[in-house]
Amino acid sequence: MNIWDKLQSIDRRWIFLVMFIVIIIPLMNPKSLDINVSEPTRKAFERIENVPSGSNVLISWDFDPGSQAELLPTAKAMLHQLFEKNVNIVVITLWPAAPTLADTTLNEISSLYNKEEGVDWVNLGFKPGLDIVVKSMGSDIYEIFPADDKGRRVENIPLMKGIRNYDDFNLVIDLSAGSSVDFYVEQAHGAYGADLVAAATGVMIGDFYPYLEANQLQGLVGALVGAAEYEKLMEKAYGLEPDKATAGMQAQAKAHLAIIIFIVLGNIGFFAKRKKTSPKLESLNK
Amino acid sequence: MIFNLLIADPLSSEGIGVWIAAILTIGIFSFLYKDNPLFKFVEHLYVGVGAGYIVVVAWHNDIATNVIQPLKDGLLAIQNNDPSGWADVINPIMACLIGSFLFFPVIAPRLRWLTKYAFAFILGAFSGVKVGPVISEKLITQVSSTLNRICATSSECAAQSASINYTPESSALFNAIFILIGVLCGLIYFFFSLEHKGATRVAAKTGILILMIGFGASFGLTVMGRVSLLIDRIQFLLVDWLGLIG
Repeated sequence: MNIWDKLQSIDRRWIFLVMFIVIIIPLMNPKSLDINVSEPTRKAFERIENVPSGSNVLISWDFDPGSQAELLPTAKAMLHQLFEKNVNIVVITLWPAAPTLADTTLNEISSLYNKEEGVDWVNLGFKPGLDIVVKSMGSDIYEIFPADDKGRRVENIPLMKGIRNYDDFNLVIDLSAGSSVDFYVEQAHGAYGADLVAAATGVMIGDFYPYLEANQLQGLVGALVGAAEYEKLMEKAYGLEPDKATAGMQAQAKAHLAIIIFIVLGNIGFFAKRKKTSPKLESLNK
Repeated sequence: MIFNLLIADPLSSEGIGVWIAAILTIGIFSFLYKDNPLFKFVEHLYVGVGAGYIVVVAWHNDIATNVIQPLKDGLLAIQNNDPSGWADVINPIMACLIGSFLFFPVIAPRLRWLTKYAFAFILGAFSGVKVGPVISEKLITQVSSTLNRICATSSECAAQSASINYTPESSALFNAIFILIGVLCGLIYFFFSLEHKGATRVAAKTGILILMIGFGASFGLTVMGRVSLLIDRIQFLLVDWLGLIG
């Protein structure tokens, strides 16, 4: 067995081990990484910066712990920004496993700014129905969310007193691990003219760039790299210390390099083996 | 390298959660070596806890607030001679009745024909909600945006429409033309009424090339997303569990 054959039959566990090592080393040796902020992330940041103090923002928390690696750093950075600006936050979710994660994060960050639940922010919880929920909020939120996550009647929540539909929100933010951005573009923006900013996972982000180009989205934060960019903008504007996304970007860069090397080596081995075996195949064909 | 080992205290209220999460994470990762009983246990635990959690959330966030509470309110209103209470009673009962048809193939096979009415209702409602906005936002707006990009590079053209912002950069014209050609070639590749010969063949080949680049970018983004998940779990093990990084 020569080196090309060995390359083709390498045990996949060696690849897993290499991936673990190339991720662990940068995490143990953190060095500063120059992060360039992309235009979609800058647009998202600037749109949220333009939300007037005292106005309302709707956050659709459409991700669960399975996607928190990519979206939680962005969610935290945006919550810091909104609380810094004294903006009222209403949170809903279209994902059943999301309300607890949203609640934990909101409690953690709101306590840093002495913000009160029900007065400065509220979590209305989960509702099934996807598009139907997004559409219904355009006419009357009270009908689709008669109570919040803890069972309190919405009409008894002080923050909800002046809020009935999208007209009462300056901005809608969708933190999406799925295709909920589609629903908001189609229903909230298309039918009711709501301004939208989205953050999405790496798997989904490619589908949403056309919305940004067509001004259906006002800003778009993509995956861990977008979260790191957002953390950098927050550090510049508010002196907020970068969190997990920035720390994770070094490991991400090294992991990508390792994957590229594996792909190149795998392809070299594949073509070298094919070149070597092709005369035999020709003789077989004859 | 920082070696400040501060393993989470398994006896503290926070520490016990961290220890359970760390053991379960290692249990899942153990599959990367080979299938084993710990992985099987964690896998089944995940499915069971996930299903149970969703049932509880659905009950509290939906059934309790959108079915039981309106029913109570409606019955109270009817008791007080308020006729508006009938709507609060009838709406949730109708929704539950139609929804229950979906279970008939399992619980009452003789009545399984009723299931098609539940599906008809769901399909009808979703079609009504979806069709209009999809045509407007995904077709018309996207087509006009593709053409607007070219218009935006000319000050005269952009000035004629208030919704188009003039983009003077020379790269904008290149991008606009590239996207337009990409869209047209991609559409030609899927146009089978004409044989792919001559100019059509060139356009179709260009279309498939652009599609392949798109798929490649999409796959790259997927890999990036999966690596992010791995980084998050390793950060959890190193920071929250082992306390290796400050």
